[in-house]
Amino acid sequence: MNKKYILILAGLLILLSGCSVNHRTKADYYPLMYSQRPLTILILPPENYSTAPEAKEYFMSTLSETSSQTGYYILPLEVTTSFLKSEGLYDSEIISESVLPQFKEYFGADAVLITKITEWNKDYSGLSGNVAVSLEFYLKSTTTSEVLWNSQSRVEMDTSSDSDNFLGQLIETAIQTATTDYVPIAKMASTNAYETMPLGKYHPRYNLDQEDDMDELLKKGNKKY
Amino acid sequence: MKKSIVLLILGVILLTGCVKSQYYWGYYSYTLYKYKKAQTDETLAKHKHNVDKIIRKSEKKEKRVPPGIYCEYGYYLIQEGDVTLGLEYFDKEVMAYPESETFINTLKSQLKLEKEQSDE
Repeated sequence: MNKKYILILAGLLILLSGCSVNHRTKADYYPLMYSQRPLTILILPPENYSTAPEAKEYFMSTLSETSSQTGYYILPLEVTTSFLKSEGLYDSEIISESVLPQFKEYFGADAVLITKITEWNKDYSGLSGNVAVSLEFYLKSTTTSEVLWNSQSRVEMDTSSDSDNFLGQLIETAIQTATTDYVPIAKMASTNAYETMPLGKYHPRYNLDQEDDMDELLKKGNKKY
Repeated sequence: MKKSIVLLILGVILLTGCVKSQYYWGYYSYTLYKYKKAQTDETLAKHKHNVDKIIRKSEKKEKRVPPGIYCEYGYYLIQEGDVTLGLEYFDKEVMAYPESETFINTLKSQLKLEKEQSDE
């Protein structure tokens, strides 16, 4: 009995020390995040490169919730978006870099989050029903125009398999009733993308995540469902 | 040995528990999604009601209200014509998150501009 514990312990130690020998940290990957320390983020209306025109608004409706978990001050997305709309800036594809300083001036944003929807796959057949969402995130400084952090994620749910996971079943039901509910998938895709983001001021682990192992985080963010 | 296992399990529960529930969001993403899907007075009213609920529940639990929520609620009130109360919520946003001050001032000057234009 005792031998077994010692073996497990030894195994764990090897695993743990193995990580620290060659581990790449958040600070290695995103040094600008730690030197510039943005506090306030303006989320621009998503750029939609998928085949589903409705994806932009649907995806946006889940973004406030998932983004807040990073610990930054996220400007009120519904309000900033209607403000941008009134200024003719709803199509963020056309926003040029020269506008960035104005986001600092009028919104107080240290950085803007650019999101791109590259896949938003709706499939109502329910037979070969794969539901997939792919996203790309870029955080750009409003003062230096540099990309401070970027990430991407893809979530795919196979609704045809007899998966016993709860979310799979949820999606399956949604498809059967012909009202595909993208909320959980979209949330998961952005939560995964945020996995590597250095944490902001309002997060309990603010300033404590520099040494976090990037390989682990990337693995976590790439989990398949 | 048993004790340490119990402690370990407790630790894991604590750690995983902390990470997820930083804010109370209620059904925010769902009610907003439904509103985006069908923009009617009814779906908007439901979403607004949920935003109000987030404020009340967070305050009751002594949790920090999620970023942007006071401002969003104030914005809906102003759209309905209740400017005085709406502005109070704008100020609450600044109290909770000083980072919002620049944007709130931009909103206020836009409101003023609109008022001047309608008064003319």
